Amino acid sequence: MSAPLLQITDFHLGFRTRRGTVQAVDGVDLVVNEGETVGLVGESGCGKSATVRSILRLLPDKVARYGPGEIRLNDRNVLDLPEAEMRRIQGGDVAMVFQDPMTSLNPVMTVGDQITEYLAAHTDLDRAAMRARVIELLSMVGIPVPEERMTWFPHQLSGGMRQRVMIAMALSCEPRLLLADEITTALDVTLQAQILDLLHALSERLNTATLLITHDLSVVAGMTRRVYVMYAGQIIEEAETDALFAAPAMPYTWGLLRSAPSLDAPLTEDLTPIEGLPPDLAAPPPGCRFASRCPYRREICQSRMPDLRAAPDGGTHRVRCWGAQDVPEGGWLIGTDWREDTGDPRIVADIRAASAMAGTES
Amino acid sequence: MSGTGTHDAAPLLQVTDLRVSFGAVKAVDGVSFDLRPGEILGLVGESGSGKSTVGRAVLRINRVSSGSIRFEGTEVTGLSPHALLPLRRRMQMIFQDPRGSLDPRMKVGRLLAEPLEIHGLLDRQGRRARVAELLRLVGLAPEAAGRYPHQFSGGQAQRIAIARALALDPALIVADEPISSLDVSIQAQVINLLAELRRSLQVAMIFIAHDLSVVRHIADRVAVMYLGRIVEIADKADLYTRPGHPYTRSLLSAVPLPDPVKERQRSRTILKGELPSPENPPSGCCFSTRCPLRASLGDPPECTATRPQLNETGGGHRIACHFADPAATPASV
Ligand SMILES: Nc1ncnc2c1ncn2[C@@H]1O[C@H](COP(=O)(O)OP(=O)(O)O)[C@@H](O)[C@H]1O
Ligand SMILES: Nc1ncnc2c1ncn2[C@@H]1O[C@H](COP(=O)(O)OP(=O)(O)O)[C@@H](O)[C@H]1O
Ligand SMILES: [Mg+2]
Ligand SMILES: [Mg+2]
Repeated sequence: MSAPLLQITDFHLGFRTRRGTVQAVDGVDLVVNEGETVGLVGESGCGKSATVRSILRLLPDKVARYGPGEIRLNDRNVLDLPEAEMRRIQGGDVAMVFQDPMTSLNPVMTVGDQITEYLAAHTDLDRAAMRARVIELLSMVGIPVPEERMTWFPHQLSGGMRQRVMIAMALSCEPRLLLADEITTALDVTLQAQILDLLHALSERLNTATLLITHDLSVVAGMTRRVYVMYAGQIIEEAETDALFAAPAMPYTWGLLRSAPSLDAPLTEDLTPIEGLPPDLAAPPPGCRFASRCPYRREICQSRMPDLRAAPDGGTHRVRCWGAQDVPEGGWLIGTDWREDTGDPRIVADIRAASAMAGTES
Repeated sequence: MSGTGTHDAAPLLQVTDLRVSFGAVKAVDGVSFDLRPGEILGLVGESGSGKSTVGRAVLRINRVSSGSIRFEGTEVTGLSPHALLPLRRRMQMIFQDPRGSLDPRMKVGRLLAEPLEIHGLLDRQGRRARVAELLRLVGLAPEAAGRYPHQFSGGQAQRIAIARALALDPALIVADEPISSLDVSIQAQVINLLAELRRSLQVAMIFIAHDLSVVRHIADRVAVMYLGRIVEIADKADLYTRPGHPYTRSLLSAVPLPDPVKERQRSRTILKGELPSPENPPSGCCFSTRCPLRASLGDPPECTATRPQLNETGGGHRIACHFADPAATPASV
């Protein structure tokens, strides 16, 4: 098989702040193959956006420190590419859509002019062909009467329509990789379902690989083939989507699954939240990053950081958790039924008490 | 767990034929419902369906165009701001963005004591004790009183907003999408907290959400709104097992399932397009322009000719659809 479209290897990213370096990405390995849809899931602040924005080097120069590590796109390390080359890639081979389309659209320019400008930068269509293409793109993303809507300004469109415009723009040059960062988080469920359906259909039709970033595991279930779960700057579990949902291996992933409301669960069942707060990435703990919130933790979890290793069910399923790994000092969670056994209640009480005390510094 | 609000108790809140217009926009167009003491009503629908306007009208934050709102037996629609003041204590609101609703310059202790001061309740010492009590109720340590809202995470800030809403011992809380801006993992903390507060304090709630999966865990009854109207209202168990209105079924089918296998097998009917303009609602049934049932029945004339009433189909389950037959159509999510 040829090299993957995107291959991130042991990538680090720090933000310089008054409090020292915030290690937002701490040794991430992630692969997206041609035409594949992959999920990147985790709570707010765990480094998802920092990771994907690094692919296009979109982070503020003043504070972001890229590396060590590699981000290879088509087998070239983007961290070594000159600025001009980066700009060609963005919008060419790689396009990005964000959570809030209002911040990425120009408020004083019509939607049509913005897509036209984008096309002009990346193609050599003439005016007439460009106009036809804009109309084609808008109708492709389900915007009714595109000839009229292209003359509208962003504020005249609803949130869902603006997100469709962003997708139209992102797909206008038929990128090979689409980075979709929480694109449905600000939308109601009906619009979310519409936008996800649209993304699914289009990426399949255009054979676009997609990295779908979200804090909601339910969103990736129906959309992706593989999933990476991220916590506090690290990948803590990765698997094929079916394998991940069939046999999630570690307590953070269990926590995400247990806290998600599901129409499937018995009506009487209470939700089980993940208690506590993520660690401060300016001073992360020495052991497992999740230990401070983990109701199954043991001594070793607080002192030694587990590696990302093969999960007991094998295949490409990997997990960063002492309890889930079949190693001499670990393995106590293998075979645990996470739906039944929700951990040690005394540890849960400790975690609650600790977070009741904490106001996070910022 | 089903409602602690008893069925025979006098309603805490009675809303009858409520209408709120902003110019030509009929944001709320004839909404009626009751709320019993200690009961939680989920109010669900797409953005723009009028949920917030209902909540704000009940609290008289929004002007009411017509209709009646009785709270603890008193008609509140005509009351002057002065006459409203004692009732205000009994009704509080929680918003989606906790940070936006908490003054960033005030320490948490002040934020929680302020409502008590405004209403002249308790002396200094009493207020301090009450602040500590409120923090305990929402799972924060007493030390939190000395910090500023921005020093807390989003979930903790929402706890602070909830504590503030509880300060005056309200009988009703309108929670307007209180978890929409939080991570899924933290949403469950806030839902559980509100459920616990209802159990311990018997406070009734109108819990607004755009997502039927969220209210399922907290509401006793659920009202589904579309374009300013309630199109279905039922006890929770009824609504989720026998959703009768095609709009309710579409909303259910929009919720993603955290299960890839079921997700693939599922046949969904995702609604097309967006809400019609409330300035110019469709004639007859307001949902007719997007209704999959109407389409599958071959566009019967009733749908566009007459506005369907909210008809009782048994056990308090009411549906506004000419062709709804909940018995014939079991839920398929
Ligand atoms: N410009 C910045 N300066 C300093 N810290 C930042 C900056 N952007 C993000 N961070 C920090 O980096 C961490 C990861 O953030 P982010 O990648 O945005 O998380 P996510 O997208 O998963 O919510 C967080 O702790 C965040 O506070
Ligand atoms: N202050 C206002 N002025 C004008 N229109 C408003 C105002 N508040 C709400 N609306 C309109 O009323 C309708 C219902 O809005 P809202 O109650 O906020 O819906 P929801 O909370 O269900 O999203 C929408 O069409 C909205 O644009
Ligand atoms: Mg982000
Ligand atoms: Mg609202």
